[in-house]
Amino acid sequence: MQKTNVHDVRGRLSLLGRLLEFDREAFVHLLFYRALIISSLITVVIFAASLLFSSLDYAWEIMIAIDWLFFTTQVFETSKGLSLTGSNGAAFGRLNPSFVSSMLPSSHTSFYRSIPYVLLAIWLVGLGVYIGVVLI
Amino acid sequence: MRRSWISMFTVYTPMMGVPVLLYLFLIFHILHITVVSLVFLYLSMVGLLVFGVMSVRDVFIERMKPQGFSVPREMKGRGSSPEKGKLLLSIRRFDPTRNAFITDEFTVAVDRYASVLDALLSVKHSQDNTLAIRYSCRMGICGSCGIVINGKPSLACESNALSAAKNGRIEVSPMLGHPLIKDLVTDFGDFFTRHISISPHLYRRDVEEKYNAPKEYMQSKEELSKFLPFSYCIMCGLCVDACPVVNTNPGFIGPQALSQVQRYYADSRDEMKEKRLEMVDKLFYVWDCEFAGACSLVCPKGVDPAFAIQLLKTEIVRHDLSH
Repeated sequence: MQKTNVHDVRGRLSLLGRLLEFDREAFVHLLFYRALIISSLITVVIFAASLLFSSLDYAWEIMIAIDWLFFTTQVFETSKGLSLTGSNGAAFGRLNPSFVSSMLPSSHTSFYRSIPYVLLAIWLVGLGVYIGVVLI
Repeated sequence: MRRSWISMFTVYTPMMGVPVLLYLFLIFHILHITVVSLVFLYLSMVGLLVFGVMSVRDVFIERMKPQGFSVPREMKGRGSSPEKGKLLLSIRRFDPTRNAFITDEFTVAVDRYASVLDALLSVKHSQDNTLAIRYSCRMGICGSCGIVINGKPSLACESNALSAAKNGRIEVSPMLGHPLIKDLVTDFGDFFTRHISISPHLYRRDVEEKYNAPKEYMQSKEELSKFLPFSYCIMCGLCVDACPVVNTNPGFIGPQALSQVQRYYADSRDEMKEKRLEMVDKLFYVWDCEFAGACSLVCPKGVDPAFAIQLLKTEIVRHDLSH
């Protein structure tokens, strides 16, 4: 079998930027997720160091707030995924419109659609309380 | 006399009250009917007028102009008809001899029904016959003409050229989520290998029934609805190109193959369910999906691969909890 000469550009992190053109929500979600990986590692290192040096206590508390912020999109997308499966694709789904109109019973769609936003609000209120009580 | 008048008034007024009330009721009823009729007539006339205007608009105006149509800058002020327009087609093409991208720009005349594929073929036929494009059916069935149009992975045959244009300009480029061959053509060998690897067919334990089926395998509407949307896949590869995980980590099997796992897993006729779950319960399969949802956004057939992958995750967790 003849082998085709190909050029593969996959595997570059910069390709995430392609999402900006057509799906900004996904871009923010993935950017925050990758930032979370780095920030959570830094948090662990600072936390370990703070056990030895008490002057670093405030630093890891700030890092917790940063991690909390970066985790926001994870909370939103995870609850969106649960709403998607819970509603059989009716909420947040992009199923074929003719299939949806003919075969998908629409039940509690607005309830499922509201879940991620409610959780997002609770999550951000928690962040606000954390900043207000612990940091300030 | 005055007294008798008073007494008559007091005696007859209640008696007269009945016909007066009836009369008033009649007047009110007539007025009511008249008002309702007038309102009805008025609304009918308004409705007919609106309907007429909308029909005229639909027939004579709206159909001439695709949604989002914009007259190219160079066409403005020349009295050009909106039925036709000139587009600047910017093609970012891959040059395999230099392993680099080059951008060429062409001006093409298109009519209101022309697709981006038509515009590309026009370039190929009249301006640059070295331009490499892959296409076949021209009606969104074969899934061969997947390219990136203004940054979004799309089928060239299903994208209206005038609607896709932004200020009279369309940028097209090859799908970077697949290995590149030449210009806008990408290699689907890897894509099909992944598709084949998930056994995309119904599996029955009884091999004999293949040759001598004892019965029909009837399915209820509920059973059908569990896998039907996932069977609409035309393997155009747009979801794989849009997937940010595939773009950054080619080891991930991709949304197309996973949606097909769900298609056969959810089919009541299939008898390889546990094996299918075991097959995808790995890091580079369902657990590598970060649920960006871009695959579902670009799917031209409404397969919703992101939903299929979330269903697989749910099934794996449910299966693990019950065993």
